[in-house]
Amino acid sequence: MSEKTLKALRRMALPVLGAASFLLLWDLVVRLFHVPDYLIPAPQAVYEELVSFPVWYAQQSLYTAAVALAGFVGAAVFGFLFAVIITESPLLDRIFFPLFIALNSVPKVAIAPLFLIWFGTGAIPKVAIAFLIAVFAVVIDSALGLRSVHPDVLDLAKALRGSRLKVLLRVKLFAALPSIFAGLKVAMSLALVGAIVGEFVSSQSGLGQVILGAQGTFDTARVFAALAILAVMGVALIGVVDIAEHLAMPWRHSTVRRTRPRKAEVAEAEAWQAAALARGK
Amino acid sequence: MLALPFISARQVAKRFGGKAGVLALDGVNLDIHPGEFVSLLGPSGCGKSTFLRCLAGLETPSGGTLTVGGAAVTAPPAQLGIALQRDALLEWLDVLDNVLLPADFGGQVQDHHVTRAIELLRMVGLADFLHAYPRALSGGMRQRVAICRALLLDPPLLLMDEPFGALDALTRDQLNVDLHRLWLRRRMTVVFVTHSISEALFLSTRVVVFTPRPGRPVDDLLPEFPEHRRLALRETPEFGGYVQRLRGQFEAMGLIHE
Repeated sequence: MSEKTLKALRRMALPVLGAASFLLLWDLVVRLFHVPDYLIPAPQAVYEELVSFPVWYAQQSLYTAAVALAGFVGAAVFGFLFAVIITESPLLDRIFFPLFIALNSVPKVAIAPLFLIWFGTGAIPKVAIAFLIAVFAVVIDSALGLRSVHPDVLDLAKALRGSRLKVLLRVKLFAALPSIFAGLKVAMSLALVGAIVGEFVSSQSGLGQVILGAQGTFDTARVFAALAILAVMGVALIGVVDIAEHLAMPWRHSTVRRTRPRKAEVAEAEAWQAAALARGK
Repeated sequence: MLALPFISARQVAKRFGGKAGVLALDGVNLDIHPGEFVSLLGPSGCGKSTFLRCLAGLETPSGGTLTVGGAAVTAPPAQLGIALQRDALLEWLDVLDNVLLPADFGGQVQDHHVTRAIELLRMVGLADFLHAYPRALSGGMRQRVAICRALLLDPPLLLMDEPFGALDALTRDQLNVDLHRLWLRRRMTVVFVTHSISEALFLSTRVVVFTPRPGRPVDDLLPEFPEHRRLALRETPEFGGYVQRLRGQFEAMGLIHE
């Protein structure tokens, strides 16, 4: 095995080690202190609950994941566009940003029942709550990133008479990417929280509804099973954002850009070689 | 000289921060002719960079008149080449795209821009780094890329604000040689801000000494050196004489004591 694969394996193994020691500790505490099942079930019991109804759990998980993702995508798109608007126009910033802060200060859990009235009991009110909870992080972090361009670079862009759109697309957007992705990661986990909050208020499906239903019958193993799925789902969703971040910013981890050379580039290289040959003779 | 000056400053003043603010420039009178390589030499805070930024249209003078190519500077002049102390390369673009930025910002990148960019990079020894990201380059290589970017559109006017200030002495010497060679080929007008006496003398056809608080030119020197200059020029008695004269200026300003 090469050193690189060994390194990669070790990097993968460490989080697994962390999770395993957590499960072991949990099991130990339950056994040592004889914690009753209805308070904290042993990991074994949670596992058995999960494998007894795999299809049902998969359906509930997919529902919740879809709601969270829809809210997240909405928050990412709207949040970024809003950040562009307030960073490009000080006037619109003065008008809308305080309003945005004020609206965000209203507890989303308190708005949830209202959404029920407006949008009914389907998936839409849950998506709306996931969106509302997630959007704040995207706006704040994107705006921070868009304002983080070094003044020298802005001076250069101005001296080169770059249009506003080009400065935004070529300079500000890229300079903002690290902040944008930081915001997206926070938004991703918040969207999941929002989806569960939405399902708590009223739902026929989803992990939030599973938790609520199981709590009514003191089926603690089922509550834990749903929580375990949520934990794994959170890690997976953040992992997807991590991968997107890696792909979006190749210049942070490679030294050379992978690209097909332009036609003019090839022509120049050929001309140079021909000239070098001619000089040689 | 009979020809009309390319850059003309008359009583240019710049005050920062309102009426009670700092007077960075006052009473700057300076004519620069096409093809001159003019160094603005002076200590930090003497307003030479501020004057350069006024020329670039990045600052507006608070008094006097400033014209480039006969027109008052109200915005960055068209076809301006500019290089700043920090190289200001875009980390997300490779070397070639960084050099092509002026063409991209000016409209669209065309084949002849690409050819010209590679030609420039070849001249400064970076032809093998076309698709390297800036983070893979040393400080000297980065600044070379920045200079190629400034020269891409063959600007009639090149403004440089201490472009080699952050480099080590050896790299700086090499870039002085590179810049001198590039200038000999095209003979564009250059305004070069520096606080290094020998750098100013080696590169320039004319050295203008600035005094601080408020910034204004106090000496104007036309060193008589051969056109093609080599680094060894700096060890000649003639060069030493000019250095002495300029150092005398700084001693008179109270900036150097012995």
